[in-house]
Amino acid sequence: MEYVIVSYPHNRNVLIEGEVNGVTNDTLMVDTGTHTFALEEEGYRPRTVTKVVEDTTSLSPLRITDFHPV
Amino acid sequence: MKNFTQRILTPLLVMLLASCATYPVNPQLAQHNPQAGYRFENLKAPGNSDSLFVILTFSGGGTRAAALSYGIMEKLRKTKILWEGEERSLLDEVDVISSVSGGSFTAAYFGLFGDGLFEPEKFEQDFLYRNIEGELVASMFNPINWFRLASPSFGRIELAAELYDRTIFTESSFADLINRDRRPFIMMNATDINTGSQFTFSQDQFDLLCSDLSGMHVGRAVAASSAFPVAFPTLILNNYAGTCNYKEPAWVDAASQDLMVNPPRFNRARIARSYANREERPYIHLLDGGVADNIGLRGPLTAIRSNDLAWGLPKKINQGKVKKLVVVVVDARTDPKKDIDMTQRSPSLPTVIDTIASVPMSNYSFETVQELIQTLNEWGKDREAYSACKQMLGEACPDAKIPFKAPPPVDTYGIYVGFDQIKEPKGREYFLNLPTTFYLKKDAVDKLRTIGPEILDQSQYFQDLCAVLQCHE
Repeated sequence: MEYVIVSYPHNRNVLIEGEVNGVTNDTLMVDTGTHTFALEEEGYRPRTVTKVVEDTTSLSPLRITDFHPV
Repeated sequence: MKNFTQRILTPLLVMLLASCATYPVNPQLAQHNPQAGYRFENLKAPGNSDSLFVILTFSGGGTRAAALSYGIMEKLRKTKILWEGEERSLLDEVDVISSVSGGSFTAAYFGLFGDGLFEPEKFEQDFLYRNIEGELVASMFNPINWFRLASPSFGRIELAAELYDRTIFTESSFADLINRDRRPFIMMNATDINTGSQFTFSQDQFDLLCSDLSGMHVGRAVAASSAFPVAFPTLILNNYAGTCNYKEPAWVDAASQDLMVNPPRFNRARIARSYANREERPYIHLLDGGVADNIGLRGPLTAIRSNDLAWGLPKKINQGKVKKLVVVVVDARTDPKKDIDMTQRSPSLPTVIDTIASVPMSNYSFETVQELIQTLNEWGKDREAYSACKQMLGEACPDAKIPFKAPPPVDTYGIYVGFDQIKEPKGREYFLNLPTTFYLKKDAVDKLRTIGPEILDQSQYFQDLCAVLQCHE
């Protein structure tokens, strides 16, 4: 199991492969591999971010800091 | 003249009957619609919380497997729990049953008839104590069936499907399962012999074929799930891929890039896409689910570790919906005594063939259970590592804190029910030497119904679960 945190200044639902998977700034569990992340609702950029998630632990999660409000 | 007419008409009649006999064609799906059909997310869950998520898996093993899983169902029904302030039975909390072969009879019956499974004149008479094997053999001696079996598109498996359909499942279809509209979601598993992969009778799987599962009879799915190789030919489905505006789930494209980082995920995507090639795969051939996975755990294991299955658990855990995850693996695996090593002679050909057929299956099942236990243990260790770090940090630098949150909390209970766990040697030997057949004597069925609950009660994880849920009978 891998761990990911999608950082964002506001509380938003995180979409992984288009489905709600939790909220921003929480530690989320995902399967190892390629995943496409997005946020619910408009008003941020980029629209999606694709990452290969591997070799994370609960103490060294992948932190996705690409999303910014516009 | 009479002889001449008979000589001409009889073969003609035979040819006519043979040409009429064909397998019931699975219906085409007009339009792909993820909101419709037999899928986990489309079933309501009255009196069944998501927060306590219970998965059962029933192995193959003929009547032996059906009776063992039935005993476990009886036990879960009797076990009352207290969860979120409400009393209910542990069986009420079961969300998914994944089954193979003999275990599919129990699973499908419960899916269709609910508590009717436990009525004395129902499943016990319809299947458990019945000589299904004898009836299957008898149907093959029926001359009318000889003509039907002469057709290249009507195999012995269709006779089995008709028998199950007519005498066990009251000719119910998956539309009846949809109309029941309640959990548990029943995953009956067969094996796609082209890809060697598990084939689950769910609309998610049938979407790949552009076929409408709701029009298919449950008895046919059970027949495919229990189509023991050689004893039965394959059960055939028509593939209509490309005709229903099927929208591929987003995970397939992502997973198709994961050959190196997650080969099993890459493989799932590759297999899913293989059905789209209708020119090369106009027909899908299915055999016993035990060929791909004889304990029915592979599908649930994928859902536990990944969101690629529609009912994937990580997303439910991330959202705080699932707080306790219970997986009960009911495995009717045997280990018959062999006298191979008692002699210098090489074992007979049937013994070698039996070994080739059963040993890889058994080893794979063992590995699958280990993977489940390892996965659940890793989750626990990940949370413990975070807590330990937080504690050390608090002691060394009281003002400092870890700059991100802990992994989502979920308690897990991986429970295995198998004959190896019977402590008393004679009893263990008895169960490990039961045959795989669709008929067992009443005494054997009764013993199987009793031993399952006893093994479950001895499980430390079940005891831990019961301590939290205040189990009582």
